[in-house]
Amino acid sequence: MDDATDLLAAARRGDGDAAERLFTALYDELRRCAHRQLRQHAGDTLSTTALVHETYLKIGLGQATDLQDRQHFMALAARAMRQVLVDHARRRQAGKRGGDALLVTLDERAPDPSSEAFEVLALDRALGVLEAVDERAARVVNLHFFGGLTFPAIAELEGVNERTVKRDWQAARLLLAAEMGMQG
Amino acid sequence: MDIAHKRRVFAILREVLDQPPSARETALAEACGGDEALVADVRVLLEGATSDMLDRGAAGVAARLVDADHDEGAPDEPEVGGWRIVRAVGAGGMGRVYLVERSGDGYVQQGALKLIKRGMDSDALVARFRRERHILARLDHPSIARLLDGGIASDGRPFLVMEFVEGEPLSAWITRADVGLDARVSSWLAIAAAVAHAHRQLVVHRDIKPANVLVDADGQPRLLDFGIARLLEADTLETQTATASRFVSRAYAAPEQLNGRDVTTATDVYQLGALLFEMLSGERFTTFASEVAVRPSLALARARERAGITGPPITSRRLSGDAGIIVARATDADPSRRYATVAAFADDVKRWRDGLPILARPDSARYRIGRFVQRHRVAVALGVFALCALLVGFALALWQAQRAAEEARLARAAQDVLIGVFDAAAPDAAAGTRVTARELIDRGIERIDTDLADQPRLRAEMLLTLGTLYRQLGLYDQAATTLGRALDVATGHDRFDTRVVARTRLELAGTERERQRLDAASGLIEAVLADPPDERMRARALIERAQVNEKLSRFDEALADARAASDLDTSSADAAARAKDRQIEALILTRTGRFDEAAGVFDDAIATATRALGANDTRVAQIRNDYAMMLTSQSRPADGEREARASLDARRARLGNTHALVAESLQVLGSAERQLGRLDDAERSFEEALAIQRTVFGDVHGDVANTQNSLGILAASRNRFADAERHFREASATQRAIGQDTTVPSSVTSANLAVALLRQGKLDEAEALLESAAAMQRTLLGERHPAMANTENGLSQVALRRGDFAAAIAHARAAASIFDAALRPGRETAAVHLVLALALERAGEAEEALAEVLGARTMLENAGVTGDPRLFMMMIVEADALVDLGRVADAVPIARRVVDERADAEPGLRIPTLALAARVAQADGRAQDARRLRDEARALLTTIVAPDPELALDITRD
Repeated sequence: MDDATDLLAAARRGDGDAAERLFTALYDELRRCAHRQLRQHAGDTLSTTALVHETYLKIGLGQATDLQDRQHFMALAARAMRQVLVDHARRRQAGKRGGDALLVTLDERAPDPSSEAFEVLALDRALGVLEAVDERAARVVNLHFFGGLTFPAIAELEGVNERTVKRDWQAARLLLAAEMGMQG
Repeated sequence: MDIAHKRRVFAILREVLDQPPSARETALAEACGGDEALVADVRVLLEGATSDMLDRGAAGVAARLVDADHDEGAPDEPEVGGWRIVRAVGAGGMGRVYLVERSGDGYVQQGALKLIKRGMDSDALVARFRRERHILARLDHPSIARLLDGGIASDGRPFLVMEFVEGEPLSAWITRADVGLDARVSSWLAIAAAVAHAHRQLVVHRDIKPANVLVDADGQPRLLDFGIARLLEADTLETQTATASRFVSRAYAAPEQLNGRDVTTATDVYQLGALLFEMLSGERFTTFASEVAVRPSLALARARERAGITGPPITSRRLSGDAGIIVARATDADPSRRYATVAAFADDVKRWRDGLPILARPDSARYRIGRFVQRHRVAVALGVFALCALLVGFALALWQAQRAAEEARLARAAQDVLIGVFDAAAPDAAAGTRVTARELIDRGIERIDTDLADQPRLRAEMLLTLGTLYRQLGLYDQAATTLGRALDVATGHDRFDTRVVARTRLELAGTERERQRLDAASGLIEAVLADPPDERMRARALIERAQVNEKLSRFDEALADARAASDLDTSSADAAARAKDRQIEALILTRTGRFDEAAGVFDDAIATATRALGANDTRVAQIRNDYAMMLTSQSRPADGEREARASLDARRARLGNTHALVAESLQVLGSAERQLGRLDDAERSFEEALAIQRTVFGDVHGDVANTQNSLGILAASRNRFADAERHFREASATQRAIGQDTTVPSSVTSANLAVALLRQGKLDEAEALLESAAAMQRTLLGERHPAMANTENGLSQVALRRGDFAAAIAHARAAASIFDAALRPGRETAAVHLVLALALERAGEAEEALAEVLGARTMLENAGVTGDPRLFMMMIVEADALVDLGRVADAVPIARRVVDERADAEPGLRIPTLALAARVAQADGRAQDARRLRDEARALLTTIVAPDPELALDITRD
């Protein structure tokens, strides 16, 4: 694998190929980290921040990178995470088709991965709507939900104050819920 | 709604949210400027729900999706662990389920294979599965789908294979309108019987729910996934109790599962209660849980009414009253207030069905326990081991249910219950059921390992108890492992009861001694003696040390320890302990040849033990065995046989036929039989003893060596010296292998081997062995010990064969004087006097030789010995001496008698008689007869493989 630090620097300079390669690396690493974290913290709520941070370290981006690099990375990671979710949700949905569920011990424990997969795809579509309605609010959702960034960090990244970010988030989740409900 | 409108709505939403909640309505109206449709659109968003998922964060969702994607796909291979996948039959909380089959010898076995999803530590799961599978596999009940197999698939996923059941899920069956009350109750009773069966095997289901029951075409229910929830969740139990119920369904979980507290048989009682509720009313129990608790007699009827026309064909009136009380009792939030057993629950359900008064009452736990014990007093008469299984389960459940309160007191109480049960049951009250007892302990240990993992004190005490039971059953390796683990647990905690630690150390020390690991035993004993918790424990430690010292032939120290223990125990009320102290003392006195002293102590020990324990207790049998051993080594074979038989009969009755202690009694009995000249009986006894010992101990053990030595002596008694040599060499090798080379037993074996060698003419090796044995015995036992006599006897025979008559006489006199002092006149004393007579005769001291040989024969006759080969040797020496003395006429009838009576004897015994007859004929002037007899003897000699060279000499001697 190329050196992640170099890739990140190149991506930030606008090198599309480097960005794509870094994205692919991130994508794989996120999946691995997610799987590993679930094994280690079965039953707990996983922290997205911790997951992305672990990915950040795993991919070879140590302390060497500066703040701007980190922010750029976070944006990239959020995108990769969203992609991971969508891809797996799609596969899950596809797998459901034609499955003959009968004669089993069904487990009522929540959350059920099938309904969750459905929700993820609905969220992805709702985010598409939000991106058209309010680009910044969509970015806030991406960074906070998929990237695990805190509101102060997003405020710094977006160059707005924290209160604005919080409002974006609150309004966005209401809109998203409505959009998702409509589709459902 | 187009995008432009959405943008407006979103912008207003943001603005309104920026206001404090109280000002939002005003802000909304202002922002919309009277556009009511716009206000409504924004309000829908404001008042709408948000997505749970957004609040949960992406990571958890991602992990689950990645995981599910990973795991619920079909396996890569068409075969998993030797099972061929036929088709998928479903997907559950654990993962996918497939119909699989496996070909056996001419049949095809079907199974339901579950591929367990990842997300748990599969190594730990598989380790646990291996531990549990034989328990689960033992569940054999018509209403339980059996666990068939399990392991790891080639892609690393663990899998389980259950019996494949074709049927309708109970959840669907319940809704059928054509299934009436009786069918429902019968079906529930069948499920309850299956659960009760599992509880007797100490297996808890912990996930009983409609989805886990299939009903076949005949209406017979089959319970699935027994013990599986436990298998899956045990790793989380140890670390995170909060998530313990991760693998069970919340809708059917008992309160203790949701609270992360311990799951016991009471959990299954709860779930059976919830199941009964649903089967009768058609509604889920959880919906009515609080109503059941508050108004038990009405809740079930109300639920049936709620179910309406979709409910079961049972009237709500039929369900009011006792049925609800039964369910309430089974589903009490406090596990200790539920029915104590599934059987009691089922009994009440039957009473209700049959219109009888039910027993469910809000009675106290104490009352219930009392009732339980009472019930089992009755059960004792019916079958002790069924009771044991129940009690083990009961005791564990009891500990778990009330662990928070008075843990230590309860632990002791539970342990006392168990010990009481086993004291009554194994080995002293359950003849021939040793295997069952062992299985029971195995099962107990499985339960302790998992159920008491986080309760070190209970775990240590329980391991100590079960380790002690293993030892009582003669399973020393299992005992050592279990006790070692008890000690690890006990010493790993600083606030442990020091007496428990000491008891564990001493029990383990005793076990190690029995396994011949004397260094390990010494270390444990010294650790207790360094800081004994009380005088009683000090006495126990001293007695243990005495026994180790006895094994190491340090008799003075051993005797001092035994007597010190006796002194400490004089005031003790524990008669068994006092008897044990005396027994050990007597044993040590025996080993040092102080037989008369020992006999007094033995009598005292037997009397004390018999008073305290009853005549047939195994501990009394032990003392009798030791006494018998002393009597035979003192040449009192008739008394020895009596004590040995008493010991053997008691042990066979109590311990079964394959037990180390039965072998010990057989060995002593064989020695007595040999001394009484019943050599075939003796051989049978020894062979049986050896077979038992090899089974129990394996080939390398001190007891095996002892029996090999006994067989060698027996072969030598029959003049089969090559056989004897083989037995003795085996015994020697065994003793070397266990590090016993400088102990009394090995010196005895050496001396015996030397005799077998010299009888085959291997004089140099024999002499070297005898010299070193003598040196060892002198150091360990002193000059006057009987073992020394054997060695002197051997040295005498070596000297005799070398023609050194003076040395032969000196050694023989030494041997005779030791035996005369130590032993009652008998076979052993007769043997050394015979050797002395022989040496004297060869040295030309015919008169003295005649006196010795007649004395020896009297000893044998007085001891009741008949048929001993030595009797003929005596007659031969007597006749030779008579010839020497010129009394040929007296010698002739003796020679004739010897030849006649030995006509059919094996060549080794026949030849000396022919040689004697030849010498007498020669002296009688019948040279031709003499030549004929010698020719006959020579002809016989050629038929012997590796004959004793003395035989050839004997033939030519005049």
